[in-house]
Amino acid sequence: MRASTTTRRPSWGLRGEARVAALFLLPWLFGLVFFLLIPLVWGIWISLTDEQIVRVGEFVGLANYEEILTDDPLFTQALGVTLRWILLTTPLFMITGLALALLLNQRLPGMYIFRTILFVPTVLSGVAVAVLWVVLLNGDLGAVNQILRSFGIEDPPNWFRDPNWAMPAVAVMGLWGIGGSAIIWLAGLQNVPPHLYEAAGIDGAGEWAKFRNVTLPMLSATLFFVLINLLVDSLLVFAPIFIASGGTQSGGPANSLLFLMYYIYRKALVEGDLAYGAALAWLLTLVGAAIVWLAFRFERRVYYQAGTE
Amino acid sequence: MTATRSLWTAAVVAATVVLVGCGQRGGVESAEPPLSLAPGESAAPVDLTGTLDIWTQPQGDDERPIKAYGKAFEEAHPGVKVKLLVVGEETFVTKVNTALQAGAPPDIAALEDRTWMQAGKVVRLDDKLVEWGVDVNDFNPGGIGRATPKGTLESGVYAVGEYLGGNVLVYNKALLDAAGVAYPAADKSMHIDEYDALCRAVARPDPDPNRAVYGCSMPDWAPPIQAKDVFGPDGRTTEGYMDGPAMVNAFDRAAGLIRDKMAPSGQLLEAASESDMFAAGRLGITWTDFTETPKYIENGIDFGIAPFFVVNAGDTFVDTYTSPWGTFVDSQDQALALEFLRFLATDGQRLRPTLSADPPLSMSVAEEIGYGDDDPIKAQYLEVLAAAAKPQVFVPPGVEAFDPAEILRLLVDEGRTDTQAILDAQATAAQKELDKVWERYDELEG
Repeated sequence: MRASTTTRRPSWGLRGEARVAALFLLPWLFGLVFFLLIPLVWGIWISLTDEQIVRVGEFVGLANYEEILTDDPLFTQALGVTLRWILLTTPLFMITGLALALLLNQRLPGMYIFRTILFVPTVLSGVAVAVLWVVLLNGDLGAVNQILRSFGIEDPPNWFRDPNWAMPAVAVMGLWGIGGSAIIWLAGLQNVPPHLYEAAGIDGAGEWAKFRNVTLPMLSATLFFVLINLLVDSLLVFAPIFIASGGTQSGGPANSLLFLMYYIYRKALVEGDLAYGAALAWLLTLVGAAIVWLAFRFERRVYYQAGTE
Repeated sequence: MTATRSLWTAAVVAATVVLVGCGQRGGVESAEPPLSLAPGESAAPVDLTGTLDIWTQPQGDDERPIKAYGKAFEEAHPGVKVKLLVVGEETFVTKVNTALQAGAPPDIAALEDRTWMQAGKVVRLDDKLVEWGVDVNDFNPGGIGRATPKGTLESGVYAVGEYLGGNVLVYNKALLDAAGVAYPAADKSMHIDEYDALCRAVARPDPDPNRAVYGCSMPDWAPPIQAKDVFGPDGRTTEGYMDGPAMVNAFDRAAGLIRDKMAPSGQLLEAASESDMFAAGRLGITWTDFTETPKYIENGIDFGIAPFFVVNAGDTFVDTYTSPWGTFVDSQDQALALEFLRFLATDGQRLRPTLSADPPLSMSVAEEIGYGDDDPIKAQYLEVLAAAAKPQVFVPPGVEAFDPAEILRLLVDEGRTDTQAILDAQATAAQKELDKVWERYDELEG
């Protein structure tokens, strides 16, 4: 008779707490495999075929990628719009979020109410917010232009009908939801040890010097987190464009709002060209990966961790 | 051993939870009161049971007609339950496409994308219609064209409609009288030049959009409303059509009316409802299907109906449509679905005029039930549709380079005057796309 230890059944190399952890992770792992990994791999395969939404495709190699990169002016337009959006909104949203967080970090009566008010737009439906702003920014009858006219601006912007103003109009919509990143900034600010400010004060530092030499370095981890989130979100802009264009295929005036994500939606789900849409999606993934890689390269230069230097 | 079994159990439970969550079909059951058919109207040859899933995009009037068909069908088939799902217009096609990909389409859907027919995803109904004793030639050609993959009966009938809708012009008689102009004819379309002159005569422009009386409506889709004027009679050519002299003139006229504030801009209409403006007596001529007319009557507007304007002299046209109900090859309960389609093609035609102001799609049924005999407005509507309803030339979806809204924006907002150059550029780009979409569409056949 053998000892029980020699007849132990395999247990995937997991014991005790590890096994319990695996148990709790199972639903998530299931979702990861079936709803992310398999579709991702499948997406690569579809991008190499001529599959349409109503027809199974045949292998065509890199034909879709070749067409996108050599014979699709709308892809170039969409890529340009997306990159312009990143350049316009990333610094704008970061600076505004940080500025608001600095204000919210003041010890004033009723500050919790202001924090709540600022955060409310973040929890509203993106579609509802977009509908609201489309009405507010209507060139003829919108409240914003009525106010501008009352200040003597006779020819206010035609927002969503002017290629030069359409993107700023969407950025204004985005600013309204800045509360989310402001709260993250605020959490970072509240983690700055007060004794650092006291020490800086003793050394004779003014407010600006404290901000530049204490606050900003101590916020570098938060800054990086917010930056990565903003970059990823910038690549996925969809709802406001869908609403601003009335749910049609239009990419705004002169295609000035033709974001890559919206173009993918049009190709894959409106026109039913799944293969082309999948190829576009993979190119968007590559663009995103390149941008995030650049951000990580930048991070090595500026990231400051207390106690490491 | 117990722990291993627990792990497997947890995995199975997790998978089941996820799959059940994904597999559930949402549905809004019809909540209308039962609606009985007259004796003998419902011929139910088969005893069917089960649940009939119907998907539609919003049909207006809280989907009263389709809910009423569902109730009547349930009464005729006590073992049948009808479930109606209303999906937003912007996402309806995407949802059906996704269901087709999953191999689980609904039993009945409004076939808003004819690619489904062309790709063989939809059950063809030509033989069924004969079996049901329905002569497809009784259906108005403009409406039934939407039930075919290429706009012609020869390309096959894959759906049935139960009403005929049409985008007609509606004019305010008092405003036209005040301007001293004659009413448009009911049996002949105005040329866009005549429409322009009429509009300018009726309008009372004002810098304040809240006080202006606009002469007419000029939506961006109006100049190219006839596909043949844009893509040629075969739907495959842009040169000479999209950028031809008739289209250049049409866009010039359209832009001029908006620029001179004779017609409300698209921007204005995003903020103010056109039918509300007409009902308030601030718009001389509008376009509508029949759904808005009760509002005009309620507001005491005395109005008349005319065919849509055309860009080529001699044409007479109204863009007509119906809800093309069909069933998919992969639909779960096809026998039930076909029986429902039979119901729509026969009893539904007689039921529809009792549910809304629209005439039935079958012109012979319209005649048989005396549609319009009791209402001069309905009679005029039917007269206009009978004279001007024609099937549209079919063009597959996916031609994006032609963008009427952008053309009008360039002409109105940016003040451009080189209409010919704008249309030439769009025609060249659109031809390339057109060739590609036709190639893809033709490949789907069979």
